[in-house]
Amino acid sequence: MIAALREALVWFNVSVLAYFLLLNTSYLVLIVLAALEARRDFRELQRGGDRDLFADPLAPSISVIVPAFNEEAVIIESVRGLLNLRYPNFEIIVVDDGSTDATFRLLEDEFHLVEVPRVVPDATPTLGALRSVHVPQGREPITVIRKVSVGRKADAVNAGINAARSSLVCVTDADSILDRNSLLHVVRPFIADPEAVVATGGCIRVANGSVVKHGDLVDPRMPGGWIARIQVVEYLRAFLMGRAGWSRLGAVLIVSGAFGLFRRDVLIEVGGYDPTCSGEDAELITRIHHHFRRARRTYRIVFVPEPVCWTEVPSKWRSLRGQRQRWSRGMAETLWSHRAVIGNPRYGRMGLLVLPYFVVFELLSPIFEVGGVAAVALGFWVGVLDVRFALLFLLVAVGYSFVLTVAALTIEVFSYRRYRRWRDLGIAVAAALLENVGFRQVHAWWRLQGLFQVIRGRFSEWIPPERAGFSGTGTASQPREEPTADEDRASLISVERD
Amino acid sequence: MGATWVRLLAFAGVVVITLSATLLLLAAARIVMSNFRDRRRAALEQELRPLLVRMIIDSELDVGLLHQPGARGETLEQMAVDELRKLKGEARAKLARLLRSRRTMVRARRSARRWRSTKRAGAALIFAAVADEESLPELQRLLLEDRDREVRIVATRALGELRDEGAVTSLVSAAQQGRVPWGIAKAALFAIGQPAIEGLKTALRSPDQRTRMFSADLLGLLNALPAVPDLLGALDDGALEVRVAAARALGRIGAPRAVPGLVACLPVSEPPELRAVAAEALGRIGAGETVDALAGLLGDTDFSIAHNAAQALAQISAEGRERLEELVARLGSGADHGREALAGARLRERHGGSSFPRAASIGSWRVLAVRSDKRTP
Repeated sequence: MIAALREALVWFNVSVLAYFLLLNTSYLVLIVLAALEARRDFRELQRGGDRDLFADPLAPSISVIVPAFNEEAVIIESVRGLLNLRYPNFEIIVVDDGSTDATFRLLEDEFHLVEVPRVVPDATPTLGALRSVHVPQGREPITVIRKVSVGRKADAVNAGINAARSSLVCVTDADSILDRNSLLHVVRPFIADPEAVVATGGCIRVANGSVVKHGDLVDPRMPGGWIARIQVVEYLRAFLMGRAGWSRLGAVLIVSGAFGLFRRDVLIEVGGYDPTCSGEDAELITRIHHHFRRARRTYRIVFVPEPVCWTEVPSKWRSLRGQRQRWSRGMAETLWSHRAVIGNPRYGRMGLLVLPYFVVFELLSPIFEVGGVAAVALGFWVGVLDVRFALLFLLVAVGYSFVLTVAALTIEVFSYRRYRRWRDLGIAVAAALLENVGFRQVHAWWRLQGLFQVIRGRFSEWIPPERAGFSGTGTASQPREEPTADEDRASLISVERD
Repeated sequence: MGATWVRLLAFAGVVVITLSATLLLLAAARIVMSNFRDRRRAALEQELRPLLVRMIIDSELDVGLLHQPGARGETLEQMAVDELRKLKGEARAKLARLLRSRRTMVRARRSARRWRSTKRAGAALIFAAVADEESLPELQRLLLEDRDREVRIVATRALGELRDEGAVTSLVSAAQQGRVPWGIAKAALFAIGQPAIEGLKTALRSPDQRTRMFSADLLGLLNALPAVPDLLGALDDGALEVRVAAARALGRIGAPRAVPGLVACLPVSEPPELRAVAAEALGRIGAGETVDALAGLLGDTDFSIAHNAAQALAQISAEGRERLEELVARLGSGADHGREALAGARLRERHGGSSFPRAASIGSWRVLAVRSDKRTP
């Protein structure tokens, strides 16, 4: 019995090692691709790609959709911030998704809203009925839609898509802050290649700890607690390395729910966001790939590294756990929904490279990671553990993870350089080391729990993220009936990596 | 596990630690260097700005002052090139003359043949800013011959800044050949402005569908009144995207003689995209004789057609507004679009509010989506 166990452990260790080698080789390729992409994007920015766009009648109109559920802490600051965006032609559509707090009242008072008989077509399916549409008496380009909540952000966004009157639709969150030039940057691919580009996504960064004035993040700083600090480096790695690298390959699989720009006609064509999926943003992009590749139509989904959306991340273990379990469920549900694409040559690189990669290196990685930790303990118990080998393996694994983060930080320093203080960079380096001590292991366990939840069909109660409000005077949100994916899902490539 | 594995892992460990240290050192060096460079540049700019202002306003300036050595000279030149983009008229001409006296253009021509793409792109920006007789051929050469896509894009934008009608043919040709994205060529052609109209009228007869579509769109954006007959002809084009672009362009130009052609696009037999854009265009032109035709579209099952017709009626004339009110009263729940259009018009009247959108922007994208069905990835 013990001999068989020993044999099994040895084979498991070999498979973990092989998995580790393959995974890290793929990360190396992504780092190189991401660095090339960042260099290209940065050069274009320096050459003034968007210089004249602000005053350009060619700039397509954009409807910015802000789903809001009990966002009284942030809604006015958020909408004011959006009104300050530098873009020649945009409207803001706030979808009040059945808030039980003062979200709508605050908007009504601030912008002197009046109810109007606006026709909202059923272009994408919505579950919650529309209650009313309101516009300001003044000149602010705002529309507020009130609808019955079904506890799903996707449903609120679909209502916003239906009400949008622009050819491009930008989806963002009420608790996120867009850089003032973000629309000018994120729209560039649509202007350069209007026939092929169907969606673009920007970079999400952590807002906790930064200085916000009048809805504009004016001074990016590192957050106070280590949970949020670790998420800063996770997000940097995920976006500057993961998504930029995939974008170079023309294989972006996630456009964040916190900041994405889409052609409205394409959203309608594919049926909008799926309100039944926990990871509606990844599911939508996978569906667009699926749809266009099946029809053999030309399309491009582009990640633009510079436009930045700042978002508040969980700073407590409990809410972080809920978020990460939800992301894991969302990925599993998405891959299951589109299993026909996986390994199918008809879908090109999506079928043969991207989705198989996500299955092996994202979906299954918590199994290898948690299994690896268990195998070490078991090996130690049955006496087959080569301690020297195990320690070296640990050193290399931790060291490699650190290299990836430092590579992302280096890309950041060489290109966009948002964090200007030495102290912030020092904290980022420390967080890159610290995340390997406990955080990653716990994270892998949560993701494994998320996978089990999908298999069992039982979800834990959604824990609302704690909200301080941008000015620090807000109150916490109330829980929704069902879980949503309202925070950005930092790419599965590095947030959820081995 | 064997000793070989242990040795391999130990080697990997050393590599990983060395790599981390190298990357951290690189990042730190970059920060130190860029901080130093930023500070130095800021100090130089502060010092040189008065001289730059003198270069612009002082008619008796000693040209010798411009010949600053080393980094001071480069910074001054860069500042002058940046400043040129903001200037017009005599001040611009004077600064450009001064830059030429510094042999800026000679150096730019040399840079335009360098191996490094950043140098060639930088040269393109200088050609556009200084804008002398050699700028156009140099930029056209970069646009049509350069191997680097980014340089071609910079050259395209630079040609737009030159505002020279001689650039139109090469811009259209480069976009047609796929050397630069159409979107960027379109922006450059738009920047050229009125001088581009004749070239675009020619491009409207191109055998290439996309060229015809973008040309029609641009003629509308440029309010090209002389192109109205050509655009009316394009309403009968074989490609839907060209017809839609022509209808939109005619609406933007607002020429009353386009009304019969646009009304002919409204019947049910025409594609819905064209009908919706034609309805919007008629609203923009504001021709009273189209009230009947537009009123007939209010009950259309296509959202964009009914919506745009209602908005058009509300903005055309008092007669259109009255007709709309009458239809809303008569149709009851069947005139939702009419009610919305009237509410929007009232809001605009009472409060000057502009937030209530008028036309549903189906945009060229819906048409492009139809088109891309025929293409393969």
